[in-house]
Amino acid sequence: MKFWRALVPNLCISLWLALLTLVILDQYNPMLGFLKGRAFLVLIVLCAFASIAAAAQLYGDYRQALRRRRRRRPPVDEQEQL
Amino acid sequence: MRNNRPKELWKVVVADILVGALALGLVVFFQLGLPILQAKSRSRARQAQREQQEQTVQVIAPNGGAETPAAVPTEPPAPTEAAEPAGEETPAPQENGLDGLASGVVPTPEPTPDTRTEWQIRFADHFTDEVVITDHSYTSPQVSITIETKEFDAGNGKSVYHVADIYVASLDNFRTYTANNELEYWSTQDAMEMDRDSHAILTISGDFYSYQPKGFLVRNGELYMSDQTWCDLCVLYDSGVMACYGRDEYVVEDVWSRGVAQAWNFGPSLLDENGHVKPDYELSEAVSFPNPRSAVGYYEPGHYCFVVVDGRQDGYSKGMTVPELAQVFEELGCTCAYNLDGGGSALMTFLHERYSRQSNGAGRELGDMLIVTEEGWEDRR
Repeated sequence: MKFWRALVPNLCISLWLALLTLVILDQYNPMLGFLKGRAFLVLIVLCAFASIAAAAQLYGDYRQALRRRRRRRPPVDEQEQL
Repeated sequence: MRNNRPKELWKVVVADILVGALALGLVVFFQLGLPILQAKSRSRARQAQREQQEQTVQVIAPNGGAETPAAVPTEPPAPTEAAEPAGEETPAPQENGLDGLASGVVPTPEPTPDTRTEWQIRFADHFTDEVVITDHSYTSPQVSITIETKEFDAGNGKSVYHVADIYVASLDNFRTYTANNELEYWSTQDAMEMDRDSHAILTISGDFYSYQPKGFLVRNGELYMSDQTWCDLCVLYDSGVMACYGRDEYVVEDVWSRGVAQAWNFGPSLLDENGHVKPDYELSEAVSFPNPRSAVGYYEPGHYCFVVVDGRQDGYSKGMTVPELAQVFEELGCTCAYNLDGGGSALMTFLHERYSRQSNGAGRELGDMLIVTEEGWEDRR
């Protein structure tokens, strides 16, 4: 589980790097047709999934951190009563 | 543990880059590598088929003497419906002289049938009975070329361009010559060598088909690739009609079934369906600047024009943008015009001499050229 949690954001970075490289290459030679091929479409879809997975993971981590913080600190009402 | 952290981070960064490179490699392989392998395999299959055909014909051909059988033409000329090749078969004179005179019958000369093609009749004013060559024109019974050099100034610098007005008797006179006279991926040849080898009167640079891993490409009636293109398509039909299509505006099978002499993949198509400049062109930034250009235009079957723009030469000509080139074709009155490979490739040759000034001076190897030619014209100069 730890491995997969580490993999998703890194995969996201790698795929976006590849995507960015293709966009730059296409600016120099559009004849290669990188942005119009099916492989590019697959890469975009993979990027999208990786991004969503990374975002979901980030959101999960954030919620977990929030819960931990709440456990450490008592609610505001309890603090006032004390 | 803390001492290991920078090393781990370094490893992670390297791993990310490697995975990115792997993804990039996969995309490049599927986008370029695989089509290249397919193209090469098709080339090999075509070559094998051609050799097999040659062997079959050699076996079938009557071989009475010691002479080797005549070579089989590997590239049949593009079939033309509208225009028959002119002057190929002149009827032999009637041999009724002696017998006719002896019997006292005066032979009535039969009227010579008009062997001229439809286009030769329609454009009779432009053709001449003899070959007439000047520095800027060539006229014969089958070909008429007039070249003019003009200047264009859109306010940000001068551009010099050359317009060749072309009339042909048939599509046998308007062809594409591929590098080394073969249809092979990555095949290139020096432009001036191609000019000489093709026996062309006039040439311009083509669409560099040999560096295109996929597309709908036809050369002189021979289908080289039949993929849907990613760019605009220009088709010269056997009837002499030229049409440009956007990348989603045609179906390869439909177009091919109508009889295609040439199909070029480069673009963009320069004019709209009314022969006017389009409101916008899908161009990458690198090719949207003023550049040397090469383009083909169409008026009607049998009447075409080539335009080559000189560029990237300070003080002489800066080149044109695609909308500026389209404006030139609109002013010429073309109904269809198509941009071909420009930049360092843009070149026009006339009578085996460079007519335009290529931006890199020394020239460049090209994949193909559009040529206007006529059999045996070099001997009649």
